[in-house]
Amino acid sequence: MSDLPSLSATERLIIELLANHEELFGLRMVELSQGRLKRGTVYVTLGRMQEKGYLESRQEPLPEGAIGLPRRLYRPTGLAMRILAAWKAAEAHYIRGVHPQEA
Amino acid sequence: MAITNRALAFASRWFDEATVRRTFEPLIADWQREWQDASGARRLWVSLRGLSAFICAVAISSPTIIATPVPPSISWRVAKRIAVFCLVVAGALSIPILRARDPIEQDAPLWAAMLLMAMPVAFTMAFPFAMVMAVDAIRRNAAVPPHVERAAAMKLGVIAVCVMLTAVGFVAPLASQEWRAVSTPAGWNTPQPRLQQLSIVALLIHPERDAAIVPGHYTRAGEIRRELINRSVLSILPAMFVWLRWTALGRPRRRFWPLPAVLMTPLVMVVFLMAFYSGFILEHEWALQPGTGLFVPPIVFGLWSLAEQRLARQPWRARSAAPHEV
Repeated sequence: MSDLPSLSATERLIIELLANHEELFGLRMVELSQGRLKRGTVYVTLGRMQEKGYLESRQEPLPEGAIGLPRRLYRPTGLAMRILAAWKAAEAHYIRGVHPQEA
Repeated sequence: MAITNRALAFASRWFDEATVRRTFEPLIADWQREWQDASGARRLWVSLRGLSAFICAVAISSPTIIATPVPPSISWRVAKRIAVFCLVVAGALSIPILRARDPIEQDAPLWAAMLLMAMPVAFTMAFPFAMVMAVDAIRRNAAVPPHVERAAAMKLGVIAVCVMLTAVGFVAPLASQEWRAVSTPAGWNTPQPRLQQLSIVALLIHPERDAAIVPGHYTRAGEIRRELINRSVLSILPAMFVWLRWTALGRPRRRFWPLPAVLMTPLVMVVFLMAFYSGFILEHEWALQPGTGLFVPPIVFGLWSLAEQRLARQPWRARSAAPHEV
């Protein structure tokens, strides 16, 4: 159990969102999270998750006539999906142990 | 969108390349696109929301500035310059202090003990002015990225304020009282401390402050307030000088400006003394609240730094900007 990488609630939420939508940019994640992600902190978290190897990203090509920086699209790595699955399994195991009737 | 360009420039100056690429570029890209997609009054709302998100991201990422490693060669050069400057100036300032007492000339061990106690007081007077030379050691003759230079300057400012707070808050007052005790001729009573000889803690809460001698013409509460303001101002002074020199070096080099550190340091000393005494006179002439005049030096140096910053942004000057300012 101690070898299982940590996953904060925010990181888990981001991976779950990305697992459902394939690729998203930061602001869209904030919108989809219904207030659980904040736009002031989400980019810092995304940066850290990239450092940990949980996320991959690519720059979206700029649309015709658009100016400024290209948006960055994120998608989860295989590592993130395996960690999420492991945490879900651990959570289910814990719930079965504490509240057998709920399981 | 000018505000996003400024935000990106700000982030690039303060943070390393990886943090800018991973955190700030995506934030600003989303902000720009949202602004382009919005129309009319909503654009103002988008700008404000984006700005608050940017400020929040800067605040959260700011510990990385302190964690930015500074090359040991720079740290060593800064420490050496501060040590040499303080030793020379504090030594020079100690001479009149020591010569003021006649009996010590006949007693070498006593003279040595008094020198030791006079030094902290002299050090607190010299230390803030060492910042001009220290900043030069960071920003000149060092081929390091701008964010490392800024991290080094910020660390210098924070450490200098802590050192100064310890010196003026605790070490210098206690050393001063010890000095008075040692220099009292044999058979005389040790003089009771004045407010200047009490530590910050004693000034704030200790009953000792009620027994201390109050030499000025204010009430005891007024004198305590003045003393606390004086020490607070002295504590932030090094950070103000770091900022001043930093902004001065940000300006493109001209024939006479920025002045070399050996000329800038005495200029800063003279301006400080003038501002200090102007504040003192203003406070008394206009019967202001005790300690109000002590705010004059930080205001003067703040305005000076802002003026330097403004001049550095002049377009006609920017053409000849130093490479690290690009």
